[in-house]
Amino acid sequence: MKADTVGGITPAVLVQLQPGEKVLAAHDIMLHMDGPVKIARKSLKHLGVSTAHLMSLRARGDSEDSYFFAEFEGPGNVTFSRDKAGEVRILQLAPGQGIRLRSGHLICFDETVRYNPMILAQWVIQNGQDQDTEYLFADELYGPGTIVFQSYGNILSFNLRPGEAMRTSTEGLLASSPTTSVNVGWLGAQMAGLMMNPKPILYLTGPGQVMVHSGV
Amino acid sequence: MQLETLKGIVPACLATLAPQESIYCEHGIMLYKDSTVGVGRKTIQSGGTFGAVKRSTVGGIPFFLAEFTGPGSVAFSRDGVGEIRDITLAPGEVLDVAEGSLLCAENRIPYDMFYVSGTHRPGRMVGFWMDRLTGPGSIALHGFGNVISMTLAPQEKVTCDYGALLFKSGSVQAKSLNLPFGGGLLGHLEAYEVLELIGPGKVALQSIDPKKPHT
Repeated sequence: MKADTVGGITPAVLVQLQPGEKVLAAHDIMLHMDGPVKIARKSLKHLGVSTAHLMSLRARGDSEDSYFFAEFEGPGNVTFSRDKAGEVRILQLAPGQGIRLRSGHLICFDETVRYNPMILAQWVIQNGQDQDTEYLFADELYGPGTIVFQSYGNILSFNLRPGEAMRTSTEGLLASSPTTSVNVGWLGAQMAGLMMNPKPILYLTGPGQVMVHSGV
Repeated sequence: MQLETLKGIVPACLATLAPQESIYCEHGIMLYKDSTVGVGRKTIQSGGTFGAVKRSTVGGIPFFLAEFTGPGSVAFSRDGVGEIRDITLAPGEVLDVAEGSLLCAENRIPYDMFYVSGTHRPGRMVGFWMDRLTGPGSIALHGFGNVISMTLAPQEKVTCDYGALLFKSGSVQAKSLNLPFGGGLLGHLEAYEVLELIGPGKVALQSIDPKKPHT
Protein backbone atom coordinates (compact mmCIF):
# COMPACT_ATOMS: atom_id res chain seq x y z
CA MET A 1 0.00 0.00 0.00
CA LYS A 2 1.04 3.60 -0.48
CA ALA A 3 0.13 5.82 2.47
CA ASP A 4 0.35 9.61 2.63
CA THR A 5 -0.57 12.15 5.25
CA VAL A 6 -3.17 14.73 4.22
CA GLY A 7 -3.48 18.04 6.08
CA GLY A 8 -1.79 19.45 9.13
CA ILE A 9 -3.47 20.00 12.47
CA THR A 10 -5.94 17.14 12.27
CA PRO A 11 -4.33 14.97 9.66
CA ALA A 12 -5.96 12.25 7.66
CA VAL A 13 -4.25 9.33 5.99
CA LEU A 14 -4.70 8.63 2.29
CA VAL A 15 -4.05 5.02 1.32
CA GLN A 16 -3.79 4.07 -2.34
CA LEU A 17 -4.48 0.40 -2.98
CA GLN A 18 -3.63 -1.59 -6.08
CA PRO A 19 -6.07 -4.24 -7.35
CA GLY A 20 -6.24 -7.05 -4.77
CA GLU A 21 -4.08 -5.16 -2.29
CA LYS A 22 -5.47 -5.05 1.24
CA VAL A 23 -5.09 -2.81 4.25
CA LEU A 24 -6.41 -3.38 7.76
CA ALA A 25 -7.69 -0.45 9.78
CA ALA A 26 -9.30 0.19 13.12
CA HIS A 27 -13.08 0.09 12.93
CA ASP A 28 -15.08 3.30 12.41
CA ILE A 29 -12.25 5.66 11.44
CA MET A 30 -12.84 5.63 7.68
CA LEU A 31 -13.31 9.10 6.24
CA HIS A 32 -14.01 8.12 2.64
CA MET A 33 -13.33 5.39 0.12
CA ASP A 34 -13.62 5.12 -3.65
CA GLY A 35 -16.46 3.13 -5.18
CA PRO A 36 -14.38 0.10 -6.27
CA VAL A 37 -12.90 -0.49 -2.80
CA LYS A 38 -14.37 -3.51 -1.00
CA ILE A 39 -14.69 -3.86 2.77
CA ALA A 40 -14.81 -6.92 5.00
CA ARG A 41 -14.32 -7.83 8.64
CA LYS A 42 -11.05 -9.39 9.77
CA SER A 43 -11.31 -10.86 13.23
CA LEU A 44 -8.29 -10.94 15.50
CA LYS A 45 -8.57 -14.72 15.48
CA HIS A 46 -7.81 -14.61 11.74
CA LEU A 47 -4.71 -12.60 12.58
CA GLY A 48 -3.48 -15.35 14.87
CA VAL A 49 -4.61 -13.87 18.17
CA SER A 50 -5.97 -16.66 20.33
CA THR A 51 -9.41 -16.39 21.92
CA ALA A 52 -7.91 -17.13 25.34
CA HIS A 53 -5.47 -14.23 24.97
CA LEU A 54 -8.26 -11.87 23.91
CA MET A 55 -10.50 -12.97 26.78
CA SER A 56 -7.61 -12.49 29.18
CA LEU A 57 -7.19 -8.88 27.97
CA ARG A 58 -10.91 -8.23 28.14
CA ALA A 59 -11.09 -9.57 31.66
CA ARG A 60 -8.50 -7.01 32.76
CA GLY A 61 -10.29 -4.06 31.28
CA ASP A 62 -11.39 -2.62 28.02
CA SER A 63 -8.67 -1.65 25.62
CA GLU A 64 -9.72 0.93 23.04
CA ASP A 65 -9.41 -1.46 20.13
CA SER A 66 -12.21 -3.59 18.75
CA TYR A 67 -12.08 -7.37 18.47
CA PHE A 68 -11.79 -7.09 14.72
CA PHE A 69 -10.35 -4.85 12.04
CA ALA A 70 -11.93 -3.44 8.91
CA GLU A 71 -10.27 -4.84 5.80
CA PHE A 72 -10.21 -2.66 2.69
CA GLU A 73 -9.33 -4.22 -0.66
CA GLY A 74 -8.25 -2.24 -3.73
CA PRO A 75 -8.23 -0.94 -6.32
CA GLY A 76 -8.88 2.61 -5.11
CA ASN A 77 -8.25 5.16 -2.42
CA VAL A 78 -9.28 5.10 1.23
CA THR A 79 -8.79 7.85 3.81
CA PHE A 80 -8.82 7.47 7.57
CA SER A 81 -9.01 10.00 10.37
CA ARG A 82 -8.95 9.69 14.13
CA ASP A 83 -10.75 13.07 14.46
CA LYS A 84 -8.04 14.48 16.71
CA ALA A 85 -5.18 16.92 16.49
CA GLY A 86 -1.79 15.27 16.27
CA GLU A 87 0.89 13.85 14.02
CA VAL A 88 0.58 10.91 11.70
CA ARG A 89 3.61 8.65 11.31
CA ILE A 90 4.07 6.13 8.52
CA LEU A 91 6.60 3.43 9.43
CA GLN A 92 8.08 0.82 7.12
CA LEU A 93 8.86 -2.17 9.33
CA ALA A 94 11.63 -4.46 8.11
CA PRO A 95 11.13 -8.22 8.47
CA GLY A 96 11.23 -9.02 12.20
CA GLN A 97 11.31 -5.34 13.21
CA GLY A 98 8.73 -4.60 15.89
CA ILE A 99 7.00 -1.75 17.66
CA ARG A 100 4.70 -1.56 20.66
CA LEU A 101 2.10 1.13 20.09
CA ARG A 102 -0.24 2.49 22.73
CA SER A 103 -3.75 1.15 22.18
CA GLY A 104 -6.17 3.44 20.35
CA HIS A 105 -3.54 5.09 18.15
CA LEU A 106 -3.14 2.59 15.33
CA ILE A 107 -4.74 3.75 12.08
CA CYS A 108 -3.94 1.06 9.52
CA PHE A 109 -1.38 -1.56 8.54
CA ASP A 110 -0.46 -3.94 5.73
CA GLU A 111 -1.87 -7.44 5.85
CA THR A 112 1.73 -8.73 5.96
CA VAL A 113 2.24 -7.15 9.41
CA ARG A 114 1.88 -9.46 12.42
CA TYR A 115 -0.45 -8.06 15.08
CA ASN A 116 -0.77 -8.91 18.75
CA PRO A 117 -2.59 -6.93 21.47
CA MET A 118 -0.78 -6.92 24.82
CA ILE A 119 -0.44 -5.30 28.22
CA LEU A 120 2.63 -3.08 28.22
CA ALA A 121 2.50 -2.10 31.89
CA GLN A 122 0.24 -2.40 34.90
CA TRP A 123 0.08 -0.82 38.33
CA VAL A 124 -2.09 -0.83 41.41
CA ILE A 125 -3.86 2.27 42.68
CA GLN A 126 -4.87 2.37 46.34
CA ASN A 127 -8.38 3.77 46.40
CA GLY A 128 -9.32 4.01 50.07
CA GLN A 129 -9.71 0.43 51.24
CA ASP A 130 -9.83 -0.85 47.65
CA GLN A 131 -7.04 -1.60 45.23
CA ASP A 132 -7.62 -0.95 41.54
CA THR A 133 -5.28 -2.38 38.94
CA GLU A 134 -4.76 -0.17 35.90
CA TYR A 135 -3.33 -1.34 32.60
CA LEU A 136 -1.51 0.22 29.70
CA PHE A 137 -2.71 -1.71 26.64
CA ALA A 138 -0.61 -1.77 23.51
CA ASP A 139 -0.62 -3.16 19.97
CA GLU A 140 2.52 -5.11 19.18
CA LEU A 141 3.31 -5.08 15.46
CA TYR A 142 6.06 -6.91 13.59
CA GLY A 143 7.21 -6.38 10.00
CA PRO A 144 7.51 -6.72 7.14
CA GLY A 145 5.05 -4.07 6.07
CA THR A 146 3.79 -0.55 6.54
CA ILE A 147 2.02 0.70 9.63
CA VAL A 148 0.37 4.08 10.19
CA PHE A 149 -0.46 5.58 13.56
CA GLN A 150 -1.38 8.91 15.08
CA SER A 151 -0.31 10.71 18.20
CA TYR A 152 -2.37 13.14 20.20
CA GLY A 153 -0.35 16.34 20.03
CA ASN A 154 3.27 16.30 18.94
CA ILE A 155 5.70 13.38 18.94
CA LEU A 156 9.08 13.42 20.63
CA SER A 157 11.38 10.57 19.62
CA PHE A 158 14.33 9.17 21.56
CA ASN A 159 16.87 6.50 20.72
CA LEU A 160 18.00 4.87 23.95
CA ARG A 161 21.38 3.17 24.14
CA PRO A 162 21.70 -0.13 26.03
CA GLY A 163 21.11 0.59 29.71
CA GLU A 164 20.13 4.21 29.08
CA ALA A 165 16.94 5.11 30.95
CA MET A 166 14.26 7.76 30.77
CA ARG A 167 11.01 8.44 32.54
CA THR A 168 7.65 9.48 31.16
CA SER A 169 4.10 9.76 32.43
CA THR A 170 1.78 6.81 31.96
CA GLU A 171 -0.27 8.90 29.51
CA GLY A 172 2.74 10.25 27.63
CA LEU A 173 4.12 7.02 26.21
CA LEU A 174 3.07 6.51 22.60
CA ALA A 175 5.35 3.76 21.34
CA SER A 176 8.47 1.82 22.17
CA SER A 177 10.63 -0.88 20.64
CA PRO A 178 10.11 -4.43 21.93
CA THR A 179 13.75 -4.31 23.12
CA THR A 180 12.96 -1.43 25.49
CA SER A 181 11.91 -2.51 28.95
CA VAL A 182 8.98 -0.71 30.55
CA ASN A 183 8.65 -0.64 34.34
CA VAL A 184 6.34 1.29 36.64
CA GLY A 185 7.69 3.46 39.44
CA TRP A 186 6.10 6.01 41.72
CA LEU A 187 6.49 9.73 42.13
CA GLY A 188 5.36 11.59 45.20
CA ALA A 189 6.43 13.81 48.04
CA GLN A 190 8.20 11.94 50.83
CA MET A 191 6.92 12.88 54.25
CA ALA A 192 7.78 11.08 57.46
CA GLY A 193 8.80 8.02 55.48
CA LEU A 194 5.45 7.87 53.66
CA MET A 195 4.80 8.79 50.03
CA MET A 196 2.10 11.44 49.70
CA ASN A 197 -0.13 11.50 46.61
CA PRO A 198 1.90 8.87 44.74
CA LYS A 199 1.59 8.91 40.97
CA PRO A 200 2.68 6.10 38.67
CA ILE A 201 5.45 6.85 36.21
CA LEU A 202 7.03 4.73 33.51
CA TYR A 203 10.74 3.89 33.56
CA LEU A 204 11.96 3.03 30.07
CA THR A 205 15.35 1.37 29.64
CA GLY A 206 17.14 0.93 26.31
CA PRO A 207 18.17 -0.21 23.88
CA GLY A 208 15.47 0.89 21.48
CA GLN A 209 13.35 3.71 20.22
CA VAL A 210 10.80 5.51 22.39
CA MET A 211 8.10 7.96 21.27
CA VAL A 212 6.17 10.15 23.66
CA HIS A 213 3.36 12.48 22.70
CA SER A 214 2.39 15.87 24.09
CA GLY A 215 -1.40 15.50 24.08
CA VAL A 216 -3.26 13.02 26.24
CA MET B 1 -18.77 42.50 0.51
CA GLN B 2 -15.25 41.41 1.29
CA LEU B 3 -14.51 38.15 3.08
CA GLU B 4 -11.20 37.59 4.80
CA THR B 5 -10.01 34.58 6.76
CA LEU B 6 -8.35 35.31 10.10
CA LYS B 7 -5.99 32.37 9.99
CA GLY B 8 -4.98 30.26 12.95
CA ILE B 9 -5.70 26.95 14.62
CA VAL B 10 -9.27 28.06 15.28
CA PRO B 11 -9.86 30.42 12.36
CA ALA B 12 -12.47 33.14 12.05
CA CYS B 13 -13.99 34.92 9.08
CA LEU B 14 -14.07 38.71 8.83
CA ALA B 15 -16.72 40.23 6.55
CA THR B 16 -16.41 43.89 5.59
CA LEU B 17 -19.72 45.38 4.49
CA ALA B 18 -20.42 48.51 2.46
CA PRO B 19 -23.44 50.68 3.44
CA GLN B 20 -26.72 48.73 3.02
CA GLU B 21 -24.83 45.56 2.11
CA SER B 22 -26.13 42.51 4.01
CA ILE B 23 -24.99 39.04 4.88
CA TYR B 24 -26.63 36.25 6.82
CA CYS B 25 -25.36 33.50 9.07
CA GLU B 26 -26.59 30.91 11.54
CA HIS B 27 -27.71 32.47 14.80
CA GLY B 28 -25.12 32.45 17.59
CA ILE B 29 -21.80 32.30 15.72
CA MET B 30 -20.95 36.02 15.64
CA LEU B 31 -17.59 36.78 17.23
CA TYR B 32 -17.79 40.58 17.14
CA LYS B 33 -19.16 43.41 15.03
CA ASP B 34 -18.69 47.13 14.59
CA SER B 35 -21.35 49.19 16.28
CA THR B 36 -22.37 50.58 12.88
CA VAL B 37 -23.47 47.14 11.71
CA GLY B 38 -27.19 46.52 12.08
CA VAL B 39 -28.62 43.15 13.16
CA GLY B 40 -31.89 41.61 12.06
CA ARG B 41 -33.68 38.32 11.81
CA LYS B 42 -33.96 36.42 8.54
CA THR B 43 -36.81 33.95 8.57
CA ILE B 44 -36.23 30.60 6.89
CA GLN B 45 -39.04 30.16 4.37
CA SER B 46 -38.18 26.60 3.36
CA GLY B 47 -40.69 23.91 4.32
CA GLY B 48 -43.31 26.15 5.93
CA THR B 49 -44.28 26.08 9.60
CA PHE B 50 -44.20 22.29 9.91
CA GLY B 51 -40.79 22.15 8.28
CA ALA B 52 -39.45 24.82 10.63
CA VAL B 53 -40.76 22.95 13.70
CA LYS B 54 -39.24 19.68 12.44
CA ARG B 55 -35.89 21.35 11.74
CA SER B 56 -35.65 23.07 15.08
CA THR B 57 -37.07 20.38 17.35
CA VAL B 58 -35.74 17.22 15.67
CA GLY B 59 -32.73 18.59 13.82
CA GLY B 60 -31.59 21.19 16.34
CA ILE B 61 -31.32 23.78 13.57
CA PRO B 62 -32.02 27.38 14.66
CA PHE B 63 -35.49 28.71 13.87
CA PHE B 64 -34.12 31.69 11.97
CA LEU B 65 -30.91 33.16 10.56
CA ALA B 66 -29.16 36.31 11.72
CA GLU B 67 -28.77 39.13 9.20
CA PHE B 68 -26.08 41.83 9.41
CA THR B 69 -26.22 45.07 7.43
CA GLY B 70 -23.29 47.44 6.81
CA PRO B 71 -21.41 49.65 6.92
CA GLY B 72 -18.74 48.01 9.04
CA SER B 73 -17.08 44.72 9.86
CA VAL B 74 -18.40 41.59 11.47
CA ALA B 75 -16.49 38.42 12.35
CA PHE B 76 -17.76 34.86 12.69
CA SER B 77 -16.28 31.75 14.28
CA ARG B 78 -17.41 28.14 14.59
CA ASP B 79 -15.25 27.67 17.71
CA GLY B 80 -13.45 24.68 16.26
CA VAL B 81 -10.06 23.62 14.95
CA GLY B 82 -10.16 23.71 11.17
CA GLU B 83 -9.96 25.54 7.88
CA ILE B 84 -12.13 28.26 6.37
CA ARG B 85 -12.99 28.22 2.68
CA ASP B 86 -14.27 31.31 0.89
CA ILE B 87 -16.23 30.27 -2.18
CA THR B 88 -17.64 32.44 -4.95
CA LEU B 89 -20.69 30.86 -6.55
CA ALA B 90 -21.33 31.48 -10.25
CA PRO B 91 -24.86 32.46 -11.34
CA GLY B 92 -27.10 29.39 -10.95
CA GLU B 93 -24.39 27.32 -9.25
CA VAL B 94 -25.81 25.27 -6.39
CA LEU B 95 -23.77 24.25 -3.36
CA ASP B 96 -25.02 22.01 -0.54
CA VAL B 97 -23.31 22.60 2.80
CA ALA B 98 -23.45 20.27 5.80
CA GLU B 99 -25.40 21.61 8.78
CA GLY B 100 -23.30 23.61 11.21
CA SER B 101 -20.64 24.49 8.62
CA LEU B 102 -21.87 27.70 6.96
CA LEU B 103 -20.20 30.79 8.39
CA CYS B 104 -21.88 33.48 6.31
CA ALA B 105 -23.36 34.17 2.89
CA GLU B 106 -24.24 37.25 0.88
CA ASN B 107 -27.85 38.23 1.29
CA ARG B 108 -28.56 37.91 -2.43
CA ILE B 109 -27.90 34.15 -2.21
CA PRO B 110 -31.19 32.28 -1.81
CA TYR B 111 -31.15 30.00 1.24
CA ASP B 112 -32.86 26.63 1.35
CA MET B 113 -32.31 23.43 3.25
CA PHE B 114 -33.08 19.78 2.79
CA TYR B 115 -32.88 16.58 4.76
CA VAL B 116 -30.70 13.59 3.90
CA SER B 117 -32.45 10.57 5.38
CA GLY B 118 -30.62 7.99 7.44
CA THR B 119 -30.87 4.28 6.74
CA HIS B 120 -33.45 3.90 9.56
CA ARG B 121 -31.27 1.19 11.06
CA PRO B 122 -29.60 1.11 14.47
CA GLY B 123 -26.65 3.48 14.38
CA ARG B 124 -28.20 5.75 11.78
CA MET B 125 -31.89 6.02 12.52
CA VAL B 126 -31.88 9.68 11.58
CA GLY B 127 -30.16 11.61 8.85
CA PHE B 128 -28.92 15.18 8.76
CA TRP B 129 -29.70 18.56 7.24
CA MET B 130 -27.85 20.38 4.52
CA ASP B 131 -28.01 24.05 3.58
CA ARG B 132 -28.65 24.68 -0.12
CA LEU B 133 -27.15 27.89 -1.49
CA THR B 134 -27.58 29.12 -5.05
CA GLY B 135 -25.29 31.66 -6.74
CA PRO B 136 -24.31 34.23 -7.66
CA GLY B 137 -22.53 35.43 -4.53
CA SER B 138 -19.84 34.71 -1.96
CA ILE B 139 -19.99 32.40 1.03
CA ALA B 140 -17.60 31.28 3.76
CA LEU B 141 -17.53 27.78 5.25
CA HIS B 142 -15.79 26.24 8.23
CA GLY B 143 -14.36 22.76 7.74
CA PHE B 144 -13.54 20.96 11.00
CA GLY B 145 -9.99 19.61 10.89
CA ASN B 146 -8.47 19.58 7.43
CA VAL B 147 -10.42 19.86 4.21
CA ILE B 148 -9.95 17.35 1.40
CA SER B 149 -11.44 18.35 -1.96
CA MET B 150 -12.17 16.23 -5.00
CA THR B 151 -14.16 16.38 -8.23
CA LEU B 152 -16.32 13.43 -9.20
CA ALA B 153 -16.93 12.44 -12.82
CA PRO B 154 -20.50 11.54 -13.88
CA GLN B 155 -21.63 8.39 -12.01
CA GLU B 156 -18.34 8.23 -10.12
CA LYS B 157 -18.96 7.20 -6.52
CA VAL B 158 -17.23 7.74 -3.23
CA THR B 159 -18.32 6.47 0.14
CA CYS B 160 -17.73 8.62 3.19
CA ASP B 161 -18.48 8.84 6.85
CA TYR B 162 -21.56 10.90 7.73
CA GLY B 163 -19.61 13.53 9.61
CA ALA B 164 -16.98 13.76 6.88
CA LEU B 165 -19.07 15.59 4.30
CA LEU B 166 -18.46 19.35 4.32
CA PHE B 167 -20.04 20.39 1.03
CA LYS B 168 -20.99 19.09 -2.38
CA SER B 169 -22.23 20.48 -5.65
CA GLY B 170 -25.99 20.38 -6.08
CA SER B 171 -25.48 17.89 -8.91
CA VAL B 172 -23.86 15.36 -6.55
CA GLN B 173 -26.35 12.90 -5.09
CA ALA B 174 -26.02 11.90 -1.43
CA LYS B 175 -27.73 8.83 -0.06
CA SER B 176 -27.40 6.79 3.09
CA LEU B 177 -26.02 3.33 2.71
CA ASN B 178 -25.49 0.32 4.93
CA LEU B 179 -22.31 -1.58 4.17
CA PRO B 180 -22.38 -5.01 5.80
CA PHE B 181 -19.09 -5.96 7.31
CA GLY B 182 -18.80 -9.42 5.88
CA GLY B 183 -21.45 -12.10 6.15
CA GLY B 184 -23.64 -13.34 8.96
CA LEU B 185 -25.41 -11.61 11.81
CA LEU B 186 -22.15 -10.16 13.15
CA GLY B 187 -21.33 -8.64 9.79
CA HIS B 188 -24.68 -6.86 9.72
CA LEU B 189 -24.52 -5.80 13.36
CA GLU B 190 -21.13 -4.20 12.83
CA ALA B 191 -22.04 -2.70 9.46
CA TYR B 192 -20.83 0.71 8.40
CA GLU B 193 -23.51 3.35 8.13
CA VAL B 194 -22.09 5.58 5.44
CA LEU B 195 -22.97 8.18 2.88
CA GLU B 196 -22.63 7.42 -0.83
CA LEU B 197 -21.87 10.39 -3.05
CA ILE B 198 -22.47 10.08 -6.77
CA GLY B 199 -21.03 12.56 -9.29
CA PRO B 200 -20.79 14.71 -11.27
CA GLY B 201 -19.58 17.62 -9.19
CA LYS B 202 -17.35 18.91 -6.43
CA VAL B 203 -17.08 17.29 -3.01
CA ALA B 204 -15.18 18.44 0.07
CA LEU B 205 -14.58 16.32 3.16
CA GLN B 206 -13.44 17.32 6.63
CA SER B 207 -11.13 15.22 8.81
CA ILE B 208 -13.01 15.83 12.07
CA ASP B 209 -16.60 14.77 12.59
CA PRO B 210 -17.99 17.80 14.50
CA LYS B 211 -20.75 15.71 16.03
CA LYS B 212 -18.47 13.21 17.72
CA PRO B 213 -18.45 13.90 21.43
CA HIS B 214 -14.64 13.90 21.85
CA THR B 215 -14.21 16.79 19.41
